[in-house]
Amino acid sequence: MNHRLETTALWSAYVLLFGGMIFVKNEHAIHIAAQIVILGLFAISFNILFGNTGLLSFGQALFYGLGAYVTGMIAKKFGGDHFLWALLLVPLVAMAVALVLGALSLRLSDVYFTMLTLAFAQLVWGITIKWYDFTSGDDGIQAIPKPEFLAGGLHYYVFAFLVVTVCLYLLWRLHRSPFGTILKGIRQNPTRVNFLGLNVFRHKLLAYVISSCFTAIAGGLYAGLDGSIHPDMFVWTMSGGIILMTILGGMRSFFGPIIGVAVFVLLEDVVGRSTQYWSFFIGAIMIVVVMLFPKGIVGVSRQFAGLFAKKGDPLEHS
Amino acid sequence: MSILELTNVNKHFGGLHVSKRISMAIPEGELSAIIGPNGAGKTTLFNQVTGYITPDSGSIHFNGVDVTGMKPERLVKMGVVRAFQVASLFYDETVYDNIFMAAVAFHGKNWNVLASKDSYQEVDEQCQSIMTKLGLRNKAKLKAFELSHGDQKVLDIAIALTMQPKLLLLDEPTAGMSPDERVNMTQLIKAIHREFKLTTVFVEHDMDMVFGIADVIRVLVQGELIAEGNAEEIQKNLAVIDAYLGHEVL
Repeated sequence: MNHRLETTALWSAYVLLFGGMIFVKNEHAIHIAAQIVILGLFAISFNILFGNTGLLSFGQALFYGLGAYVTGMIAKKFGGDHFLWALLLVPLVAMAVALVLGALSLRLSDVYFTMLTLAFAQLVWGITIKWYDFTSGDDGIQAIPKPEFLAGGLHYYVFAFLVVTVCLYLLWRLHRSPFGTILKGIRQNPTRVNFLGLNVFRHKLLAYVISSCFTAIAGGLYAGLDGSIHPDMFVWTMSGGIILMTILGGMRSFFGPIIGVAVFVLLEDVVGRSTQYWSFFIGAIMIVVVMLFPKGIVGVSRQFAGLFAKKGDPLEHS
Repeated sequence: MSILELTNVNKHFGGLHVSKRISMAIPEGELSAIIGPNGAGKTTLFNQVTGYITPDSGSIHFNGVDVTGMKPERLVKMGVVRAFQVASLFYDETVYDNIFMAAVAFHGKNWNVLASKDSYQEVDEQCQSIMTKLGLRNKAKLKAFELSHGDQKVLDIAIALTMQPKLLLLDEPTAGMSPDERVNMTQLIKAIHREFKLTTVFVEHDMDMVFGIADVIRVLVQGELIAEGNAEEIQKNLAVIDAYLGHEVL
């Protein structure tokens, strides 16, 4: 399929589908949609690192939890009117933390980088659990207040949808910017990027800071969704889940990750109603996807679209 | 004035002395070749000149500036650019995007995180001009992995030229090529040298090409520079014949 056509189709689908949710009267459906857009922002931010730059961080939950706790703790302590500026503070805190952690971990390559990001996230998880007086430990934070106008499922959904859409637009611009192109170059051939006169480390660091910043915004939005957050947001299964969703949806496509998120969340909801073993089905689907369709859902769709496309146009690329 | 000057450059890999007190001066605008048997230290010499590895001792001057031990990214900015023995490309990207990345780097647009890719006219113009000059224009939308081996090597050189080098180092430009591709590459290098008036150094095993186009030929054997001269002088040099060319060639 033509690249521009695919982009237009996916953006339209995103806006129509998730924008259209505001006309749906079903509270439960709106709650599911809110989960999908928030986790979708997490997954797409993560994929800037993973799919674009080729950096597998196993610790992005650190920033998801960080965003949630910065928002949740401030709103809880100072009241619902402070929810919004707490949310504005989130990207700044996240970027500062990412700058330090990135500078330390990006010096390492491949699996060592992955392990170090995991270690940092688990460390923060441990601190959150143990430092009861500051974080409420294992109890998490409940009943996080929000401003009046964000109360109610639909109002908060509209707010989350708008914030996520602005963030996705910025990330999409980055994806196709000169910087985004250089990131793809770093994934494929860092030595050559170096011989283009560029400092690979600094480009990776900026990618890491930006990715972590948007991940933290997703976490901040989650804190307002149910008004309840828990140290589990920092834990490695959270980071791992996002990796799985991204691969399921397709890491070589901008929107792939959010499609993976949607499939996960919907499966959990639908299958979860009839059995508590819903994760078994997720596991089975992952095995099928990884073995048969390693390019994810978007990759498969592209192949199908290719079958029906005009033959004999070797210049067309997906 | 010489653009590149090596003085007593030494490099060891463990017990192996890969560069032995190499001194040479390459004048500006020269098209020269470095030849020698496998393992003579030709690529290692390139790696030192381009900053990929640092000499153990000795110095490298580029345009009168001491660049010994300088990092590749700085040397590239100064104009020392190379192409690789095995084409070093972004294989999942199109020909255009491969050159685009180099043009973005050259114009310093690499930090722009929000601009659309095609918002820089000068970047696009440079890409088009390089593709036209190297005959890659009708392959612009092909991905690098879809190209023939010969075209991949041409693209590698195209990326290097996009950086507007002052000194171009080509590591075995015809390695693994078919005879036809060799002829084309030979003509291409000659044309590049003429068109860009560029100091060019290439490492090569194809002697027809070396003696055909190089103004000056330098011979490395076991890390040592044993001879330097034009085609005729090198072909008659007994040390070179013994060590590399062999007697039956002549």
